[in-house]
Amino acid sequence: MLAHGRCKRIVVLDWDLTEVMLSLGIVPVGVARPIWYMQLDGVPPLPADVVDTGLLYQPNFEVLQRLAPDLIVITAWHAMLRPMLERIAPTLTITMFAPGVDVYTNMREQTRHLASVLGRENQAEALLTRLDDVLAAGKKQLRGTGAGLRPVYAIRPVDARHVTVYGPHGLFGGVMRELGLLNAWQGGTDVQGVAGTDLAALAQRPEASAVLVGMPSPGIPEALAHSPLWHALPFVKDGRLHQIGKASPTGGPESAMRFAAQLAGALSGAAS
Amino acid sequence: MRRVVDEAAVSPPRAARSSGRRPSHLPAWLALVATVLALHTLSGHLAPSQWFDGHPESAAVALQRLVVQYAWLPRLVISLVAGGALALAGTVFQQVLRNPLAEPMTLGVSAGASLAMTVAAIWAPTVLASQRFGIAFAGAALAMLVTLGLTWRKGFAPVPVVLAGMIVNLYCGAVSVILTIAHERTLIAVFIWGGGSLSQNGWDSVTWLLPRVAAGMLGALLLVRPLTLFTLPDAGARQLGLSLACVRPLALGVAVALSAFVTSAVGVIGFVGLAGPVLARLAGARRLRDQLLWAPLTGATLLALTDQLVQCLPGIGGDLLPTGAATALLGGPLLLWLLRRLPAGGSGASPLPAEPDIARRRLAVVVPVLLLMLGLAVLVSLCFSNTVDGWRWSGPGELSGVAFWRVPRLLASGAAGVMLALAGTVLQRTSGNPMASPELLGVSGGAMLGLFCATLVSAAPSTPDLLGASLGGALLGLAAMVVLGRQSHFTPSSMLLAGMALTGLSQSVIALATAGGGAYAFLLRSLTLGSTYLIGPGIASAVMVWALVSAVAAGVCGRWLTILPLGSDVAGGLGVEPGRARLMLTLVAAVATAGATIVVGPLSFVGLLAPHLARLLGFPRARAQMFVAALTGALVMVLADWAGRNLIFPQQMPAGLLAAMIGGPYLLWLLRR
Repeated sequence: MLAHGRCKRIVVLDWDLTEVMLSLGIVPVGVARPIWYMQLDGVPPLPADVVDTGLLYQPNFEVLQRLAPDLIVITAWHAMLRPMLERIAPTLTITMFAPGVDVYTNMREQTRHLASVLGRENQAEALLTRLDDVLAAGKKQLRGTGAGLRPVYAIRPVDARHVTVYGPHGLFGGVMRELGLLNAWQGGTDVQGVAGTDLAALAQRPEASAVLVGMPSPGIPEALAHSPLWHALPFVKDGRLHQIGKASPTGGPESAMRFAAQLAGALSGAAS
Repeated sequence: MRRVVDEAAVSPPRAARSSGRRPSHLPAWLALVATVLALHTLSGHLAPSQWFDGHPESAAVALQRLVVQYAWLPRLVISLVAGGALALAGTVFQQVLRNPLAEPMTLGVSAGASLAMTVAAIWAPTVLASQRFGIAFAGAALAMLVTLGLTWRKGFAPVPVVLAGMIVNLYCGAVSVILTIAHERTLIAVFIWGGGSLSQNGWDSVTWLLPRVAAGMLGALLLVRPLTLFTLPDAGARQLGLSLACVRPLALGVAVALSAFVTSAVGVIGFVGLAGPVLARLAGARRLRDQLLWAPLTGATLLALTDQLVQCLPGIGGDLLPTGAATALLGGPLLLWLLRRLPAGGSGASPLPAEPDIARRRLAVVVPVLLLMLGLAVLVSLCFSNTVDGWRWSGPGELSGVAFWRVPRLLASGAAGVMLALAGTVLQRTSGNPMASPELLGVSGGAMLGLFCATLVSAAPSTPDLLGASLGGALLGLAAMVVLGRQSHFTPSSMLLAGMALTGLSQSVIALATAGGGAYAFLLRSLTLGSTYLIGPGIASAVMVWALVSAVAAGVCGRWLTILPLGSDVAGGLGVEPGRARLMLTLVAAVATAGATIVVGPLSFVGLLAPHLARLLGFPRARAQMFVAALTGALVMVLADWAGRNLIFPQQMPAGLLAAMIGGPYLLWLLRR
């Protein structure tokens, strides 16, 4: 593979991989639509001088050629671009999501894999140790509060009728498992461990509590306030609904840490 | 099902019996299956023993009772209301415009609403959450006002209205997609709405929609008598004292309002507006009076059945299946099955009228001008481009570095433009339908399904896989059309309807698969939008050869295009067998479309635009029209490819979309004259 530490100019065509790379201490020269990286989560911050290479699955080849990267990092979904990209620079595929693969476990493995290619093994170990510490602290915080006794929905309202649910196999699901919490969502999810559903589906586990991840878009809380079905949901009616700040549901160790700390804080504060 | 029974009881059922077939059978069967499924979904919430049992109950049962009351029941009601309203709107559209392809979708109503929602979601999300009905309705109304405003001078004659509606539809759609490309992350709510999800969280939508639909139905009932006269041609209708300039906008207004209400309340629900009336007619509702009764009933039960079916199915990857997108999954095959009954030579669209007011021009004048413009476009596209350092003109030295990225896609775009224009001209001339465009051949739909299968089989399909799958799908779609068309001796109207059913089917599949908004959805959406983006030198050369072959074949068959409209007897006297000639022409169009689909994806707007541009530029005769259409097609596609590369640099836009953006306004301007 590539010699350690030799890669100076790296282009990343994926936001989750951008997050992992930034938390390993490497700043890419080019990223697909940097503005969407900021919207998704934006932590760690991306310097403003990183070049926009265009759309996620349709990078601008002429821009890439001008950037003259040493390495282009892509996901499996970019496979059709690979022959074209290899004309420009060596190309590395990192597969964060695959059918039947637990997102959280795989995220840890792929972080190590990317770090070994880039010669950043130490940084990766430090990062994952930090994640383990946050998880251990969270678990301790929740112990004895009774929060572990109820299943938890992790959701984000899309509009007044639909929600995004983060299932057990996703990144958030893995973090909840590590914290000793039970994920209330029993339906299917896509390879990223995420599903879209309607409000009625959230009535299946009446004993569950719920966490809203990230502030809903403006106007949605007001619209939900008008919905009789929303008010009938047990976690709304009985006040077991918690709001936490945003974190990327498909991100790397950094996103996992932010979600874990906020979730433990919200649930322990509420249950005590 | 209560509503259905009520409606049937109120409206006189006597008309049905006059015909040999019973138009009531189809909605009855649909209603029966829908009822069974509805009881099944109901028992998923509440066990049958608890349905009528009001005894004190556990908290879980009480909760499920609320779910039934606020989600299951309003959803069932709204599916019936929306389906009925859309089918009624479709019936009125098809009657007034005398075109079996007219429906709320094709006339720009849904696209206008969709665009308004997209714009609001990006720039005024707060307003969108509170004023969803108002925003969607304003968009739908605005789109239709533009359509009607453009055709006002022509007295709202069917062909210009249909054509302007189609262009407004394509144009709004193109703008929406371009906004989507730039803002995809913030638009998941709009995508769900665009898929037509019928999920409810209370009775708000029903109480909003029901009185409005009732008013619309009343309006349609009042117009039954004058509308019946639209069965006659314009001149005949006028002789009977019908004021076309008065009734036509009135009837269109009612139909637009109905479809706009539904679109505002539940989102984009395709296909019901088309399939409801057509299915009712195929099932035996001959007279308009019968159609106005049975089409809404068919539409209502069809949508209710689809919606219950969707609730029974497990979603893809746990996601909800949007009902609106799924309608064609059920309605498509139903339409194909019933199409076998369509009498040969059955009701087609009114033929393209001769347009004496269009000045005929000479090829010797126009062709050099077009060639010069094409040359200029190629030069600009190669050398003038937006880069990291801003706009610059590349000299020969610089060009060698970037030629690999620019030349193949340029050539392939031009070739695709030629092929689509040829296919569109051939189709519009053989069918006599101005809305006939290559995507109605079923070939593009097949190609889309091929792409979809490729992404299913392999998690990471390569370019050759994708192209092969696209081509294979296109050929399969063509084969299906030939098999279907043989039964009707390749009658244009049934071919177009069958093509529409196939296209609707494939769009359903794609919309369902991309409903979730996950990474896979992003990928599939960008694939099906089509792009000249991944074209290498090898594919570009192959496409050029393909275009050449298509052009020669179209030129050879050009004579039939002039002969066929003269009727079977004349054609037979000249030694042309109409059935075989139509098959050959369809094959030529399909082969050309398949070649183009590989390059620009299923978005073949140029195929609709170019033939009209050629005609309106002053070339109404078959071969001249084909030739000029091919040149303009190439010109529009070359410009579109250049614009797609540069306009919102460094992002890229699909050339097929930009072709609509470039060609649409010009065509509208020509139409106005």
